[in-house]
Amino acid sequence: MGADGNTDTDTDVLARVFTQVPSGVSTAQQLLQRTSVSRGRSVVAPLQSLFPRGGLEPGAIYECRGQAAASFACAAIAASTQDNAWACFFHFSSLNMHAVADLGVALHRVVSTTCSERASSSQHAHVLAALVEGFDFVVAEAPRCTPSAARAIAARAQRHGSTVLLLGQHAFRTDAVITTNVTDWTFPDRLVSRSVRAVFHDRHQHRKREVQVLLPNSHGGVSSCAA
Amino acid sequence: MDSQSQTLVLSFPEWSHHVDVVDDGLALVVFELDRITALCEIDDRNSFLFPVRGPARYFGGEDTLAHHVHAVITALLPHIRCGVGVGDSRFVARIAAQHSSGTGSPIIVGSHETEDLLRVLPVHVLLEYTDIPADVVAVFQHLGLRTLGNVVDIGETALIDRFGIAGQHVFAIASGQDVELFVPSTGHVPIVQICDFDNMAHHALSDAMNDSSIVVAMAEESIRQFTQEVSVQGLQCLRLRISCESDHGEHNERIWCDTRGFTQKSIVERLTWQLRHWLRNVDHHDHPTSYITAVTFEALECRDLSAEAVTLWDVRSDNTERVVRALARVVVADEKACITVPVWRGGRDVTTFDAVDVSLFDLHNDDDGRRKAETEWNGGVPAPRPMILCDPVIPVVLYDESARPVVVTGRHELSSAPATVRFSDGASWNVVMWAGPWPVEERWWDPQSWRRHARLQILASRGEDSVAWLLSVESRQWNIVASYH
Repeated sequence: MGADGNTDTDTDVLARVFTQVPSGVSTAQQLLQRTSVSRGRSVVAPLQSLFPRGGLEPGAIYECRGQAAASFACAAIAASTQDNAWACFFHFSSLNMHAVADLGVALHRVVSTTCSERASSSQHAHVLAALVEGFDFVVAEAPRCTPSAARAIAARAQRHGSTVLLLGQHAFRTDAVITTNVTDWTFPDRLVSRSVRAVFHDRHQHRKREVQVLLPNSHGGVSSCAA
Repeated sequence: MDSQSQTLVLSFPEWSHHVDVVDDGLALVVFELDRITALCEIDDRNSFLFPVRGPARYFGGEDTLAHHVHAVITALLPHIRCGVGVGDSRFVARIAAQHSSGTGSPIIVGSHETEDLLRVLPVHVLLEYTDIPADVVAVFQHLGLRTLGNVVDIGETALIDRFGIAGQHVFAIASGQDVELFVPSTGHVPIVQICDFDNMAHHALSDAMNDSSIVVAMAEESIRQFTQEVSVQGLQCLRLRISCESDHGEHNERIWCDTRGFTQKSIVERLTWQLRHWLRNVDHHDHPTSYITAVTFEALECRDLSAEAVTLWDVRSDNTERVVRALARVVVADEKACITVPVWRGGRDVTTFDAVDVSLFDLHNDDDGRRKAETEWNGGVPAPRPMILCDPVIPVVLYDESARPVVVTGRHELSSAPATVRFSDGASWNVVMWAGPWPVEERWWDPQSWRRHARLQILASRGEDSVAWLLSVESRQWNIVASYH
């Protein structure tokens, strides 16, 4: 018993103190959940469940395939551009910017870049390397790069935290492939919406995730499919 | 006075000619300075810089040197106002030269006077004499930091936290620590590109190799490799030494400075100017007596282009400057690259945004409302809009079930229900669903640009593939104008 009549031993005190103190982390997963590293770049709510960390990861290389690849790529970057992230469309001159804006992309954060017609693949690689150093997102359609240049660009993107989305043919080794398939069209008296199933295949973890969305919906945006 | 790191700046405030414009006056100044110093830089602010140390010993001091330069140049170009300033740093020397052009006599800022001078200078001088971004200076002014002394009192750490590398640069300038030496800077792999004409197949044309245009044409590939090498390392060359050598050993060397960063085109222009004046000036002691055998490009000072500001929680801050520098590197990699931003145009056409060159916009200005889509345009394509535009449009033919072409009647109706879409290469898709046609008439008040057409949406399939297209018919020709991809 102590002088103040307290019968707690030192061990009891320590145990009580330590239970009151927030515990640290015991696993790497807990550490990831506590730090911002665990959170990917923000994406619109209907697509969040598709990504392992709730969004696109900085420094990752994604490939978008399928019948709605272009729409998906734009929808995936929309929320981040609203948060002041910068996006560059590389060799994607055929995009309808009004449709891109309908998906929620902030056009005042968008730049389009196209190499000259006679540019060599080396110049393509240098341009793409410059873009991944400056932009948060680079959406590229069939970039002409050799595999060695693609590896260097991927390393640079990882170092600078730039997320790259690729469409069409490319020489990159991607971190994940997102395949989009159209499952249904809503066409009463005109085209109203399109139902798309997006499948996320993570090459590092060999897992697949799926989500069904309206892309585009009747307003040109993206929304979850009604149950 | 310690002249070890002192710089002399000769400036021409009223001289509007750019260094890449052939200018006899500029050539005269350069050749006169060659008699005074072995190392002279020419920068993009119509100024000439060289270290004081060597010439000061020859002429008997900085005062004598500065007055000698001023007298020589004034006699050479009596109708052009010039200023001579000497200071511990280029920044101080530039300011001194600017004031000298007004007083008519050289101004020398001693080492013991530099700190006192810098403390009382207003912050807006950073805009005039350095490449500090305007928004950084604006923040200083908004915070009530009127002088460079106020900025220094904040501390280097706070400036770096707020402005990153720009803040570090500001502190160095404001505290007089931005001493830039006339030697290659350290911190990056030396970048040197040698164009050796002796090894080229055109050696047989040696007699033509004292024509500046031919030499420049031969050196263009080396210039391209040099700029790419700089770009690959994530750098931007700010100071460049171009050295030319003849077969008889005559040598010509110039140091060029461009705070915007050298591009392939700007290096070609400077080499052209340098060669032309070297070859033209037969009175010069180093005038080449034989053909030119080699040109060397050496990057003396480079700037890291990949600087970014990362906040404490690893959230990327709004660093538009990083984007601007990335685009500058794109131009270096491919000078003819097309860099555009979308600008709202409106109209009833499927294309409602124009692609406008990025150089016409200030990317820092988020309030530019022209780059945001406005509300629905009466008669335009309604939402959901097609994602991919077909440029050029794809001509097709619509057939009904009886294999007859489908046309739009005068009542804006289809002559029959479309069943097949056929392309010019013979490919054929089945029409599953269709909607329209919707007549569109544009600019009816202008006979030259008046246009009348009709739109049709179709959902087509071929096997397991299905796709939705937006078609337009004009003068009985169907075209696919966009795809819902």
